[in-house]
Amino acid sequence: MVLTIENLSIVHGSSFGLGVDDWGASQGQLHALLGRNGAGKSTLLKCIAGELTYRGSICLHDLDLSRWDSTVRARHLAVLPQASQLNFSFSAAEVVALGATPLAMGWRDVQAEVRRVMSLAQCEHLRDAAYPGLSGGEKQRVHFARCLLQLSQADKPPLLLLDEPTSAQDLGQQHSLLQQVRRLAEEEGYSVVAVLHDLNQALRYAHRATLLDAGKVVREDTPQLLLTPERVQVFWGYPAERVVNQRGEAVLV
Amino acid sequence: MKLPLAQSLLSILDQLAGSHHSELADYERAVIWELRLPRTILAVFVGMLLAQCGAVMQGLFRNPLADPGVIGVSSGAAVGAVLAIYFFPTSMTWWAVPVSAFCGGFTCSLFIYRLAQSSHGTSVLVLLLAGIAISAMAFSIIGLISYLSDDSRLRDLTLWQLGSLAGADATRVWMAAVAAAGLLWRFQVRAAALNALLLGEAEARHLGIDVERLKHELIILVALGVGLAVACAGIISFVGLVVPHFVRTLNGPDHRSLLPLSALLGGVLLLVADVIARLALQPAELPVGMLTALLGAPFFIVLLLQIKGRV
Repeated sequence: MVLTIENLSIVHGSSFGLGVDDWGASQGQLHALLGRNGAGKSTLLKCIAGELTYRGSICLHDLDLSRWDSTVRARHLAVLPQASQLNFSFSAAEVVALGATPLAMGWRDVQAEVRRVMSLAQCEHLRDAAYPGLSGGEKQRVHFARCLLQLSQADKPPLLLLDEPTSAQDLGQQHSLLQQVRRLAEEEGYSVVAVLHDLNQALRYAHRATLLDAGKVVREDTPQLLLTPERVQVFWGYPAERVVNQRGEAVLV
Repeated sequence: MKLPLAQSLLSILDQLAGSHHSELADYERAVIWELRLPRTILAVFVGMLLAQCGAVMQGLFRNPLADPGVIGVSSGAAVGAVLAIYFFPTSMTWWAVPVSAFCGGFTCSLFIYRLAQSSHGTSVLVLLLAGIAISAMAFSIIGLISYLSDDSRLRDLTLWQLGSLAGADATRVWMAAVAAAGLLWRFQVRAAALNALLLGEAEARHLGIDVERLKHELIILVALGVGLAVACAGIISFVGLVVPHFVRTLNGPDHRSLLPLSALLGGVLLLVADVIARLALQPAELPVGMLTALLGAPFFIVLLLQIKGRV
């Protein structure tokens, strides 16, 4: 396992926030975190990202996250934010280059890598565009490229956390981004944990899916077994029907 | 007094090389060595300090409008300086004023940072309001101390308050020089981290940066720089705002080049401003702080209008 979580709990003031007894993410797989709003998906992701204080243990490659050297950890764990505030007019390529902050790399190598990851993230054409002027979706792809650069020198399989990575993308971009993420998992051994709202994206791209409700893990399984019409009705309150499309894939409608 | 530039330069060369090329009289040489040269050098170093600190503060606050003068850090440092002038005997003010100015500036920086910080950077509105409140408080304290002072202390206070580089002497020049060089070095070491901080604190942490340590170090260094600049030359506002903004427009916001270029341009700008302040209303002399405010304030308003939609 790349990521293992044991007895994780968070208490927000007096209310219960999150309680995850035993959960993990393995190498080469895309894990989708599913659940309705307030189920604890983003909270769980923030715990793994180290943005919240928690009780329990979160280990990356069997070493507790707090015991990693912060620079080495940054080479193995990257977080794609939903939105980023940046008031200064960096070019998109400069924002991507910030991904090299924890890396030991010369300027020339950074430039070459920036070009490579920007083409992977399909935002090469934005290279010289001013970041503040980009659309939400373009910004997301620039940050995706930045995360790829950040993980490019990992010597163990890295962990990539995605917080609603497709929220600002149009339909075609959503699919190309998730295809790219799945390819990274399958071909380069990335372990990916993604908060997804679109259940069909989870069905199509995720290897594993975890359903959260009221801060607890309800079930962890393949998305095909997890996302039955009955569960969708119970947890999302939507009377879904499952059909098989012409490619033989299950689709919720 | 008018001294020809060539003769002045020759006189400096004479002093350094032990030669006798210059045709200036002894009292003219004294003017160069005791007044003009220290003042020129001090202007450059104070300009460097202010411009660098402005640029770092804008990065730290993730806000291009954060100028140490505008948000009240300079006022805090001024209160520190004035308290030192009032409470310490004149023989001790050479170190007491800068130290006390640093303490005042540091307290204000910390206070403003805590006040204006939110998960989305800092609010311009809170920054400016905090600046107004702190400046008002600072001026009332300075006023009170002036009121309580006897004649000789009042003279010292007034001289210092005019915010001018005329009081340049070897001690101030050395202090400003060491601080400007030290800050230039330390800021350069932290420039890449400061770039990452612009993405947001959480993002910077994900990139492996110890954000708390970075913030504390930068706040202390900025307070040191601003405190020293204020102790040496009074409140000179807008240099820290105009210069980094200008460099960003030309060269982009990357701190690795923004900081040294701002230092360079800040030094040149304050030197030019001081020359203008000295010559514009001859034989009277404008305090240079008044001149930078006169030119900088309209610039600030234009900048504010530009980002109004985003405030």
